[in-house]
Amino acid sequence: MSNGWVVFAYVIVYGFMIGYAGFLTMRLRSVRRRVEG
Amino acid sequence: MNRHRILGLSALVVIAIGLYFGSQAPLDGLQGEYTRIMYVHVPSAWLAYLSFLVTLVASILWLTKRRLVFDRVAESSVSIGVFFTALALMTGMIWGYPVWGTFWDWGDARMMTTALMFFVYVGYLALRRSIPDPAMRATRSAVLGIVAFFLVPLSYMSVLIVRTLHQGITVARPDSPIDGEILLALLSNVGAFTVVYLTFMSLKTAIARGEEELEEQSAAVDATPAGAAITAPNLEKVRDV
Repeated sequence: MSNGWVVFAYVIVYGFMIGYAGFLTMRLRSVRRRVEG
Repeated sequence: MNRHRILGLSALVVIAIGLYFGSQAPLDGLQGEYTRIMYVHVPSAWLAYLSFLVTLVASILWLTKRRLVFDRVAESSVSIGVFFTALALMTGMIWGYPVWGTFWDWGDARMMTTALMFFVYVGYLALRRSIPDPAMRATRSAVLGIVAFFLVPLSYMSVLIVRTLHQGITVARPDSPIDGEILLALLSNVGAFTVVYLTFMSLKTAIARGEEELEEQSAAVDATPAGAAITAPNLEKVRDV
């Protein structure tokens, strides 16, 4: 995968996936804290 | 280890497998390295379709069974479907520029119907935010979730209706000309993205369940009459003094 456009596409996809997973995890923790507290 | 963590770790493993098959698959004679964008672009689009199909089924189930769990699934699946549609649109533009010479073509039926699908489902999420009553919100968004689904077959079949930049249906054709190794790489990435979808669904439905509990808690507080928390003075002690 030496092509810049290909690398860019993969960085976009997996970058957003990691970001979205992190966002959902943080949001779940925050909601749970509010429910318990 | 909880369910979210198991799914997350499984997603990492299947993504690694998908990346391996994608890197080993032969390249298209015309497109060269750009072929590899297919392994993230096509699974993103298919998972978007799957997400909206799940929303369709969950919306029908809400309207027939009236159980909030179906509304939760419908909403969560739309959020994730919008996410995958955005990925499909972005990777499509990145693929289109070096191969077709343009990021976007206003005359391409697949691009336009996918963009329309994206905005309609963003509208679904906006509609949900505008209705405070949970039952009314679930019913109205279920109707939209059912009506909006016609955009999915429209987007998928659009290449048959108008032939522009996108190629016709390839994988689902009975006489599919796709190479076996390329198909294996594609399907392994579809599998990987499906596990990612399940991980996101697990997290998103848990968030929706927590938010419902918060709504119930705040409704219970609102329903308490003013002054109910104030305890009556102990007059016995007052008399003693």
